[in-house]
Order: sequence, then C-alpha cells, then structure tokens
Amino acid sequence: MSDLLLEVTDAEFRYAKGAPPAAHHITLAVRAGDSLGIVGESGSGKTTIGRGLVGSLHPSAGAVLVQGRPWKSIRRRDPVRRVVQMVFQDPYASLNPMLSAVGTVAEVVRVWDGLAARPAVARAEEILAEVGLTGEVITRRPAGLSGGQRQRVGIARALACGPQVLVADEPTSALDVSVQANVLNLLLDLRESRGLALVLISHDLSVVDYLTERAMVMYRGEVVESGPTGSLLSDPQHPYTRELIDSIPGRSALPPAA
Amino acid sequence: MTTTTLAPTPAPRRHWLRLPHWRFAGRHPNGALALGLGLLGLIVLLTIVVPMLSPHSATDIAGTPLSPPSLAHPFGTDTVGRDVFVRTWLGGRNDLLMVILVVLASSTIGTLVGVVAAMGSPLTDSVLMRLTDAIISFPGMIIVMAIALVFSDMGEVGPFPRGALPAVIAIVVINWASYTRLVRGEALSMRSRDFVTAATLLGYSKSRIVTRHLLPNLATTVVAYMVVDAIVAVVTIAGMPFIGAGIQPPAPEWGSLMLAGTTVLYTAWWVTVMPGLVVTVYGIALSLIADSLLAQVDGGAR
Amino acid sequence: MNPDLLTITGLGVEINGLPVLSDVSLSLPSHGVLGLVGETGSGKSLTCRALMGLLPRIGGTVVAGSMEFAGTTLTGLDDRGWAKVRGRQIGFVPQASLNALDPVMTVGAQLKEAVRLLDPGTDVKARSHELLDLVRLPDPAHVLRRYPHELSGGMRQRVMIALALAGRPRLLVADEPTTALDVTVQKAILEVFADLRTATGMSLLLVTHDLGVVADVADTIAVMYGGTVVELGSTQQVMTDPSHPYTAALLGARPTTRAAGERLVTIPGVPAVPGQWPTGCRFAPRCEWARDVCRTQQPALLPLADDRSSACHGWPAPHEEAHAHV
Repeated sequence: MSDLLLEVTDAEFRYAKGAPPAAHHITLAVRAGDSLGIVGESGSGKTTIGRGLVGSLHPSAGAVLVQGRPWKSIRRRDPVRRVVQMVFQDPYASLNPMLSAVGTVAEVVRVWDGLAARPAVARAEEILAEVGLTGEVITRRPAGLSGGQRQRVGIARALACGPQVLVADEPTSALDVSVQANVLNLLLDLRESRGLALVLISHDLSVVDYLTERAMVMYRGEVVESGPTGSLLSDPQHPYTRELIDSIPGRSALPPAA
Repeated sequence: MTTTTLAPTPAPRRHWLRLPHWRFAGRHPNGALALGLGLLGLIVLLTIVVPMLSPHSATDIAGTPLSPPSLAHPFGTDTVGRDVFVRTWLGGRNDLLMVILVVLASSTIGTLVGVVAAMGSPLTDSVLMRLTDAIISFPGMIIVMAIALVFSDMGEVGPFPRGALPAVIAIVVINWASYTRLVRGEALSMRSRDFVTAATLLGYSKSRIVTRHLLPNLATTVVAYMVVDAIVAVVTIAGMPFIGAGIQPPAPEWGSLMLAGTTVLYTAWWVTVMPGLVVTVYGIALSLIADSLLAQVDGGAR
Repeated sequence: MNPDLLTITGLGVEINGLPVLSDVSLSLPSHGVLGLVGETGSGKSLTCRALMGLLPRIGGTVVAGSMEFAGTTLTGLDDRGWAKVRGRQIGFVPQASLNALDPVMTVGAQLKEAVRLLDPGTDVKARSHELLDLVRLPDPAHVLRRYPHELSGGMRQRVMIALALAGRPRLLVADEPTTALDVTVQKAILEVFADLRTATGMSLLLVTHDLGVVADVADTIAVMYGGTVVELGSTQQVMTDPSHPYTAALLGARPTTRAAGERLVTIPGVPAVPGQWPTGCRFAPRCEWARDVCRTQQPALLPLADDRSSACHGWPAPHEEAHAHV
C-alpha cells in the first residue's frame, strides 16, 4: 500500500546488547494523514519508540519500515529521510544557540533543495510565516526567543524538508498552558493544511485526546491498550489506562467540553 | 503609573581580592572586560613603542650598574648597567610573541584532536584519549629540557631570539592535550543535545555538523581557555631560564630578567620587582578578560 | 468564619530598582488551602520567596505593603526573627526540590537532624516515623535507612514534604511541588496534601502554573499575572465563572475544555517581561476587551459580591458583578 508511511512490526528496542528491552512487542502503522498518540509515564518506553520511528535507534528484533524500507538501509541523503521528521521536547536544547531562526530553517532548504543562499532564505521565511513567525523575530538567535517561539522554529525546521509524518516527543510539556495552546493549534492547522500525519508522544492524556484519533497506552515497555482515542478515554479497558485518566488534574472541577 | 524614587540599594559586599567585581566593574557589565582589554592593550603598546623610542638599546651599558629608578632609567639599571625599562618591554615583546605562538598552536592542534576524538569511532576516541592522558601525566619539565636540548643549535628565527622557538615547541608538545580534553568533553555533551540529533535526522554530513553546529558553540569556551592559558604560558616561559632553557642571553625576557635580579634582590630590588610588576599587571588584565568571557559562556548555557 | 492565618496586603517588591511585584494581596484562613496560580514570569515564585524571607538572597527588597502571619508582621523581620518563623511557623517545599536532598546522608539522618533542630524535646525516632506516615510513605523504618538516590522521584518529594513538616508549621508553602513528576505520582502527592490538612489542620499555600493541579485541592485560588494578583476567589468560582479575562483565557487554553478539532483559546502577544511592565493594566496589551482606561490606569484588586475579588476595569464576563467597576 502506497500510503503506508511508517510500519512497525513486533519490534523490540534495547539501548545496549544484553540490556533489558526498553520497549517490546511494538506494532503500529502510520498512514498519510493519520494521527497517533503514544501515552505513558517516564520509563514507559514511549520516547524509545519515538527514537525508533525516526531511525535514531534500530530495533533489536522485529522491523521498523519507512515507506516499506528499513531505516538501516536508508543512507544519509536518501530522499526517504524527508518523509519522517521530529519535533523535540526541550525548546532550549533543540536549537543551535549560534544560528538565527531563519538560518536554522534555511540550512535545511539549502541541503535538501540545493538552493543558493538567497532563495533559501526566502523559502525559509515562507516556512517560518507558515508557523506564525514573521518580521524581525526570525533574525534572532534562540536566546532572544520565547519558549513558544523556539518551539515554532523547531517545527519549521522539521517542515522545511517537506515531511509527511511529524514525530513530536512531548512538544508542549516544557511550555506554559497559554503557550501550549498556541502550539497545539498550530499542529492542528498544519495537519489540515499539509495533510501531515502526526505521532504525538506525551504523558498528558488531555493533549493526546485533543490532537489524535488513535492512541496507545504504554506501561513498562509494553502496549497495555490501544484503540480510537475517544473510546480509550471514555471506556478504558486496562486498569492502568483508568488510573491515567483519573490522574488528569482538575478534570472534575472543569466545565465540560463546549 | 506612579514613579517612586528610591535610595539605591547598597551593592553587596564582596571580597576586595575579587577584582572583576570591583564596584565600577559591577555597575557596567562589560567594565571588567574593558579594563582588562585596556591594560593588555597598554602592555602591548609599550612593548612595541618603548624599544623603538628609547635612547638605550637592550644590550647597551646605559649607566652606572644598579642605579635605582630615576627619570633617565624609570626601572633603574641592572648589575652591568643596562636599562631595565627598555629590557623589560623588549623582553615583554619576546614573551608575548612566544605566548601567541604557544596558544594558537596548542589550541588549533588540541581542538582538532578533541573534535576528532568526540566525533570518531570509539576506537579512535580511546587511542587519542590515552595519548592525551599520557602527555598530561608525563612530567612536563623533562620534555621541555629534552626538546630544548634537541633544538639547542637553532639560532635566531625571524623575530624570535635564540632559544625562543625550542621553548615554544616544547610547551606546545605538552600543552595541546589540555585543549583536547576540554574540547572533547564539551563536544560530547553538545553532541547529545537535541539540535545535533535534529541535524543527524536531517541527513547533514559529519563535516557540516562539526563546522556549523559544534565548533561555533565551542568557540567561546575555547577562547576563554586560551586567555587563561596565556597567563599560564607566560609563567612557564618565564620559568624556563631557571632550568637553563628558554630564550638565551643576552636577549631579554621577563623570566631571565627576574632571575638575574635575584642575586641582588636586597640591595637592588628594582631589577626583579619592576619586571615582576609588569608580569602581574599582564596576569590581572588577562584574568579580567577570561572572567568576563567565562561569564558569557555560563550565561549562554541557559 | 476562621480568622485569616496569613494576610498579604499590597505587597511590592523590587530587584535592582525594577518593580517585579506590585500590589500583591491575598489571604489564607486557618485550615485553608490556597492555590497561587500563574505562568512563567507572573511573580508567583517571588511571592513565595517574599513570604519565606528569602528575597535578600536574590537582591530583592520589599518596598511596599505588609505580610501578617498569625499576629506577626513578617515584613521588617530581621534574620533572627525570620529564623523563628522559617521551618517552625511556615514550612517550605522549594521548587525543583527533587535534587534538594543531601546525596551522601541517609533520609533518616536528614530527617532526624531536622526534627532535633526544629522540634527539640521530642522523641526523634518516633517523630521521624510519624512524619513519614503523614506523607503516606509505607514502611518508614526501611525508608529512613535509604539514600536519596535509592528512592523514586515521588518518594523523594514525600521526604521533602516530611522535612518541611518537621518543625510542626502552621502553614506549608509548596512551590511547584508536582511539576517534574509523572501524572499518577502527581495525583498521589496532591492526595498527600489533602490528607495533611485533615490530619494536622495546617494551612497550605500551593504554588503552580497549572490551574488543574490546584482545582482538586484548593478552596481558594489566587491568579497572578504581570507581578500582581488579578483574581482571587473560591476554586468553584474561578474555575467555572472567572471574573478576569486572563483567567478566562487560561481556562480556555486547557485542551480538556475543548472537543477534538476545535481550536483552543489563545492569548495574543507575549507575556510582559518582569520589571518592564506596560502602563495601566498589565494584561491590557493582550486583552481583547481593553479600553482606554485599561491602558492608562492599573486596576486595583477590588472585592466583588460573593467574597471574591478581581483587578479589572470591566469586561463582558458571564456574571454581572464585574460590570460594577466599569
């Protein structure tokens, strides 16, 4: 099937030979336009799966395929690399402190589209405008940007090579609630305008509920429950899922969805 | 909005020895840097100008031996009657040229090896690091004396008097290893940061990651260390005459000047103390610069 | 009605001559739980520091207002005065406290030291067990022998709370006590706080950036923005019927309040930089209801009906009282 972008079959991930698996028996598929949530707490293996999906950690058993090909067979400048890109958790560590916003994005365009310096900057400005950054702000280095602005630059960098899937690992957990809202809205906008598929890795069920159609719940390296996000939340089957739902702070005190 | 004028809060008390936090330096964030650069500039200027304008040459017998500081001889004269003022500044010129060469060569070699170790295979890394460990743990003075001996026939080269280049080579041979340690550690911690992961995921080449993403972020740290190193290098260079190495007389140098004065320290203190004061001011100037650079590194981390 | 244990009135704080807090007013009754909510740069942690007498360490000074605690005026206390209050009258769980335990001392040694120092004359061993019971740590004897690194994040946080309780304080101040923790652990810690209040009758001041966190535990909520308190009211009122546009926006920004696909409420612009506040209402540049008066005059925190207060010149809130100050 041609719209199958990422396919994971009974994969197991270990950080070192002989180490216990950080995640195992993982099976999932991401098709064009999909949205998948991976929910879990620290040590659940959700970040490990994220690293597996973008090819920075190879499975010790099973397979991770991008458009039908294993990551191991994909070379540095293989066009398949463009398919999957990542958005990181910490907007302080994920940007080069010495590069401006526009420089960060223009570099991707230069490398992948072979543009000269000037057209690359013009293209970078377009992409930054798409994530809501325009004007003098884009000439600043990360130290001069707010957390939300940095996260937008991180998203723009991922978009710059034209991906079909974004893997976002806790993209808003370092941000204030009001800033988080901006970034979540942006991710929704991009899904609609670009038809992007999204894999959202998060500890926060409310964010996963808001952004994804399907979700899987991880606990100690295993998937304990998966299915449509809505029914997962309204009718959890596994006790751990139920515990997670009960732990969403302030659920009782808030008005129901408008 | 109402504007209330308040009495300025008294500055927190600091120990008087902590020079970079002198009150004026504290009030202007770059005050310490400016003072350091100013003092260093003055020293560099004097090493250029004084030997050119002075009526005496460094080797002339310019007056009565061991005459105290006066208008004619601001730093007095030494045991054979040479002018200590002109010898101090000409000596400073020799010292500074050597320091520049030592620091540039050590930092270039050290940074290169450090980046290769951090970015290369585990085998490359462990081979290079064992080598640097060996050099750092080897007694430096023995290497210095050995190299000085090997190159003892080397005469004057360009602006460097006899003995200067062997000394520089000897120091660089030991000194690059500490840059390697520093750069490798910083590069490794930088490599685990997400922006380098992102660059890898985007298929950037290793050379691009090193030149565009690692080196620019290491620069401030390396430069700050170079400034600190320039203090240590002067002390090392000035110490070499005490073991018979380094610049050979009669060419002046801060260390040999001070050494020559030790025999008459009680009767003619100026022969030792005046060059010593200049070395002290040089050290203070560089530590002011280094401190402000290091503060920038710390501030930039966040 | 309980008399107020803590009353902060018009507190103003400056750091290096910059006004970082101004006109901060709030009160906390005995046995009450107050949630102090605000985002980065709102001044919530500074308010905490002021309350613990820790401002001088960061170069801050109180320039206006007063803090009254159980008949003591905290503002103006000297070091010795503060020493009698800190730990003994007001316990403190600092921010990022997960790494605040001494790594080379066992939990028991640290806890017993605190008990000996702050609660002289008690049976140290029995009291240490009792403190760990209070924070719901099972098997206290075992935990006391452990080193901090042998405990999970949630257990370490419980130990930190136990340490803060050693001097039998009447008020416990906790700055972002659950921020670095997993959600299930966060829930357990919040339950510890709720239990503590019933078990010991102490008051709690919970500082957090997350409205949801305080909603489950606090009776009253104070919302901070731009170095001042913009709204103070019961949890029910603040969460369901906010009287300040900033609070309303904060609530709308939470994904739990929106159906999937519907956009969240966002606040235009960026938060004001502490000390460089805009003239007038600090929220005005980002407020969709801002009028001329909002841009020139800073609104005071004024009482509305129903025992709540709001600092707003008026906006079309769902309830009519807000219009009283137009």
